Amino acid sequence: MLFPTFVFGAFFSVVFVVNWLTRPHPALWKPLMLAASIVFYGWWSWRFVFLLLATIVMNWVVGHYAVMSSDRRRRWWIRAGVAANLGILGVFKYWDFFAVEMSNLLESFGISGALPVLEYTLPVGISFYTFQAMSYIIDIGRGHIREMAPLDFAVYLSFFPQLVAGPIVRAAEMAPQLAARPDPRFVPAAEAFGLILNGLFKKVVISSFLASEIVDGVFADPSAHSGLEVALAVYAYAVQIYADFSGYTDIAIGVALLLGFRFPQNFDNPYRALTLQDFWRRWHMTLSRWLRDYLYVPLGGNRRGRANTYRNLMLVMLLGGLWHGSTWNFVIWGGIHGVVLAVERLLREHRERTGMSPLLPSGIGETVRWLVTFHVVCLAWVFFRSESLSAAMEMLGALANFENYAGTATPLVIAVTFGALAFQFMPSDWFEQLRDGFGSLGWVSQGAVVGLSLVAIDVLGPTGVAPFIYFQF
Amino acid sequence: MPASNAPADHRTGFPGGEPRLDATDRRRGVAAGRVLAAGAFGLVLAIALNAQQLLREASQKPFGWERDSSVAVWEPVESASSAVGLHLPRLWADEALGRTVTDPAGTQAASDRATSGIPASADPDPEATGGIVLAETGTDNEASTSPTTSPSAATVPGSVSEPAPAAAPTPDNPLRLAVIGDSMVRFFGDTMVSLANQTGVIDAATEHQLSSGLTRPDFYDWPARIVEVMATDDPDAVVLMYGGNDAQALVVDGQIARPFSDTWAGEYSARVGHMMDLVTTDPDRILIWVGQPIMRDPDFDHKMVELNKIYAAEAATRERVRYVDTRDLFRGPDGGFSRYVIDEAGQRTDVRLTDGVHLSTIGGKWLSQLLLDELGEMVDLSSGAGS
Repeated sequence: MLFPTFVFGAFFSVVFVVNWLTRPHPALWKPLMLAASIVFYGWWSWRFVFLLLATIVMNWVVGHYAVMSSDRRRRWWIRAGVAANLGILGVFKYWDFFAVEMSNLLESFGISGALPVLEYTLPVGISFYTFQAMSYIIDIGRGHIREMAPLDFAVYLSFFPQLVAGPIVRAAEMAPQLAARPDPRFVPAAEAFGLILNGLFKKVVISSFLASEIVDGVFADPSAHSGLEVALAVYAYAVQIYADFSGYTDIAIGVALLLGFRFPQNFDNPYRALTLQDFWRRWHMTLSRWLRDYLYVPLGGNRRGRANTYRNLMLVMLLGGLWHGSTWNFVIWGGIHGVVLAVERLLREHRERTGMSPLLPSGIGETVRWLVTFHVVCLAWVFFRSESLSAAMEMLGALANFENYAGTATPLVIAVTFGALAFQFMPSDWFEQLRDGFGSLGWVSQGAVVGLSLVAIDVLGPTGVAPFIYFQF
Repeated sequence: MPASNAPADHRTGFPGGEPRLDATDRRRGVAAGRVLAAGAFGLVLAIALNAQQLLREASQKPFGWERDSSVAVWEPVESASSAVGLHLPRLWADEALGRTVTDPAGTQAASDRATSGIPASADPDPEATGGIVLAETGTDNEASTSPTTSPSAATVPGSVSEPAPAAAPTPDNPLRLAVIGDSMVRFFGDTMVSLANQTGVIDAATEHQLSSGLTRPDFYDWPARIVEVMATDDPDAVVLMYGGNDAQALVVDGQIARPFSDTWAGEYSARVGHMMDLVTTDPDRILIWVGQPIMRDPDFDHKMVELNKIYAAEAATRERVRYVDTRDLFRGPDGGFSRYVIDEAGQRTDVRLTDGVHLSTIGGKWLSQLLLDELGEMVDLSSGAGS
């Protein structure tokens, strides 16, 4: 079930009413919310509902036995649980990549006998909910959280607003909210409606427009476009993927707010970052937090010398790339981020050690740092978006095309791309001001704003809505 | 819950996000009932203003109970909305954006053949010899023949009708090529244009319409569009690919025909033949009709096999139309569907997208090369860059 559809609107209207009517009665509310989440997920494929339920049961059992066990056995349970989750991801997401690459490698040495490929359809949201499940059992093992009741855990892991594309909410953030009884007299409606409408606009209008008007065409055949168009398409993709993913997150957070839940933020104007380190504090924050706490720190973080720190940084970014998908392009995407993060760290350490002052005045220096950071991010996006390594190289090579202007760089495309980038530098309180203005309206006026906004978004968007980009991860 | 914004990367050395998790400000909250009232009013208003569009989208669904119930819901809403003029703002907005607005409940009542100005095909028997169906000779602006062969009876996959030889294109006088179709074309059209243009003797262009086909001209009227393209671009060669969205019911004389019933097959064959005729009205123009590749889902694949039989049979009855079978090109190592097909170097290559339907970039290149090779057999491309 896609958020920007009438079907979801009808589904959520029912869930909203049932939620607030039954919330005072947890024994009723929890099974109903679990059922709603299963309907939402099963709308894509009812088969994968069983995988989701199996993941819930397996992780709860692991968490339960980990809590009941001695320290040594607890570690064993946690490792087994993490391995099982990685195994599920491996089967559905990584096995074919491994089998094909290994078979081709053996073939190039004249050794035949291909490994079998499974060709399973990737279950929507599997990377998100397995990461949430792993965070639960690891936090249990670390003693950071208490065991959740089975039904609470099932509601947490399957909670439909964040089920398919995050944010990656931790049990420590959800458990207290599941236990609480939110007051139905204080629903943050202005904030929720604002987020939902903002998210819909970003997804349906901005993301779809840029995808259809320039990004898809240029990435499909870069050689048929001029270098300027190719560069604009890369910038446009940076905007498209931000609008698409942060749009989904906005809607997810808004929908959860209307049900009395608050999710962690996932984006904070990432394209205003002056360093790549800053970018990762602003982009997909719940994933970078996960990678830090459950991968980088257990690897030793920065506690085992400089060489190991750089190794860990690189390893985490490579695996972060692989989290998105099993292609070399995603590995390279992570590698670019890892290398540049390492270089930034190296320079920072050098500056701190030598007490070197900045080479450029602050204004110019910040502009240069922004330009460098943004273009490193864009370079990495080329690999992220391209279907193959050769396609990415073709895209980069086409930047030097001085002919073949195909007419895709229309004034509207340019305005939307750079306008959306400029919007990242708006004062951060614009949303609060709009929210407060909306909140001061009567319910009829609020309804009118919502209704007219929905129609405007539908008018400005294309016919039909493409799935969110992050659904494939 | 307390806000937590302190960057932890100074502590750990990794730039992980510290997502804010604000406590809800109770002063900004309102009662759930009021939220419901505002939300419901907003939805009702949006529905009232958008009723024509909702009815249009409902009527464009595949024929069946889901479409019928959707139309039954939206029809009275649209009538009420139109009666009080609430549909007008949306209409004005669409017009201002230059969008064509059609009858919201249009169900292809008007024959697409009638709209294109070409008379409907007759129904002669094709002369079949040894699996090759000999072409009927067509003349300018004259309806060519169309078979009554039902899909199950058509057994001429890969059959080839001999095209009329076209003049050899040169860099100064390139062959104008149009690559047109549904979403399949989206995934190889640009690649084919690029490969074609690299020959130096082809000037190619492509267009596609997602979710479209020949069963539902109320969704997208391809015959009308083909007439436009032939008139404005006047291509020398055309590549068409349809079918992925066509295994659904269609309307014949106001009645809904089940997919692959005899009535359905007769009408669909006539529409395919009609499209072929629209392209080859010009005696100097040739057409390549691309068959559907092997699909992952066995049921869907079976339907595509049946459609391919229709395409092959229709192409076989027409001069200057060549049907290109693509199933063998994308067979996996075991002869069935696979995303990973062995290439000439013996390497497994990912030629399909994860949906088990569309082509990857590499798959698109393979198909484009096959089609250009076929084109090379129909037209002398030897003065191009590759010669």
